[in-house]
This record gives sequence, structure tokens and C-alpha cells, in this order.
Amino acid sequence: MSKSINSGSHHWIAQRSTALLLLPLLVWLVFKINIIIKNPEIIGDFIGSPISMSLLLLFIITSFYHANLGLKTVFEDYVSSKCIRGVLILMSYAIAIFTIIITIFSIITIHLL
Amino acid sequence: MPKDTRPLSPHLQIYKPQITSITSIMHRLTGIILYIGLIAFCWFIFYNVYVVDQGNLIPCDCIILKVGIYVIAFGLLFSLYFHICNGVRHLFWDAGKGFELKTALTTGKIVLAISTILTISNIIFFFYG
Repeated sequence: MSKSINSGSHHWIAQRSTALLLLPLLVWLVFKINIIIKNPEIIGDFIGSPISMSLLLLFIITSFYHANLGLKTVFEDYVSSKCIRGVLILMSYAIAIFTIIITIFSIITIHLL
Repeated sequence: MPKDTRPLSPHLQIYKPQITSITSIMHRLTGIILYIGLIAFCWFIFYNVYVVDQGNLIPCDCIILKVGIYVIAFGLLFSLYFHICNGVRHLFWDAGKGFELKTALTTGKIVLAISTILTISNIIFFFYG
């Protein structure tokens, strides 16, 4: 078999547990973003509060993890060549990790300034 | 392996689209759209932290670009709500509940209805709240 065999159950459990974690996080985030777009002056409180910034970071990391698991499944379904599939999956991991690190730097910078 | 040139039996041209298949492919499609939206969200944060902000969210004057950005934003909003509602439906399936055909069709319609209601009420709140 050309697809990875030994990490299937971990993939399944991780996808469901990140989804469960993301449900309340998203409720909070959509609520917050709607309020901030309506009253842009609140953004100072939002950036200054360490709990809000930590929840935002938690959301970013968890949703990238969940999204990568899903994208891995999509590539495994639609790309039949072994090499291209492996490269695409690796590239999506790299983009996710790169964007997460940049976002961590941005959030910590704007929180400390 | 040499490229396979045998014909496939027709599937998309024959099967009548049903709630179950439509919601399933929409779940995957909205997931991909949300991945792109997530990357855009992170770069939006990066842009607002490290590049001097002019104070408005959409820094352009052209009306076509503004309408286009609103359309994309509301499309992302619908994708988010649909993926969340259908994800809850998937979680119920993982727990073992709701596999009967009538239940699956009903919950599919409920998911579509709730996600459109949430999107429309969010848009109304955005413009008039």
C-alpha cells in the first residue's frame, strides 16, 4: 500500500478532538470579531488582554492542525501519484507551520507594544 | 505505470444529486475554502501588525474591489457556518446516532437551513446592528 498505514487511528482521533476543541473557540471568536468590526475602538482592549490573545493563538494552532488533517485526506483521495502526493502533503505542513510561527510573532509583538 | 486510457462508467452525469451527497461534497469544499481563508486571516493579522495601518479594514477606493471583497467575506462566512453545522452532524455520526436514511436527510436540510439563517443574520448584524 502506498498510503501510510500506521497512523490512521491517531489521525481519526486527532481530527475529532480538534474539532470538539474548535467549536467553543469559534463561537467566541466569531462573536468577538463581529463586535470589533462594529466598534473598532475596542481593539485596544482586545489586544491588551492576555487571555484573548492566548485564545486567539490557541484557535490558530488548533485550526491549522485540524485543517492539515483534512487536507491530507483530500490529497490522499485525489492525487494518485505517490511522489506528488507526498510532496503536496509536506508542502501543506510547511505552509501551516510557517504561517503559525509568523502569526505567533505578530500576536506577541502587538501584545507587548 | 503506463497511463490508463480505459473509459470510466458515468457517475456524475447519471446520479441524481441528493442532500446527502451535496452536503458531503460541500463539507469538503468549505473545508478547503476555510483553509485558504485561515491563511488569509493570519496574513491579515501580520499585515496589520507590521505594516502601518491606515485605520480602515478595506484600504481601497474602487467600488468593484470593495464589493468583491464583501462577496468573498460573506462567502467565507457561509463556508464557516456550514462547515461548523455539518461538522456537528458528522460528530453525531461518529457517536453512532442518526444513520437512518430519513434522519440523515432531515438533518441535512436542518444543517443547510441553520447555516443560511446564521449567515444572513450575521450579514444583517454587520450592516444594521
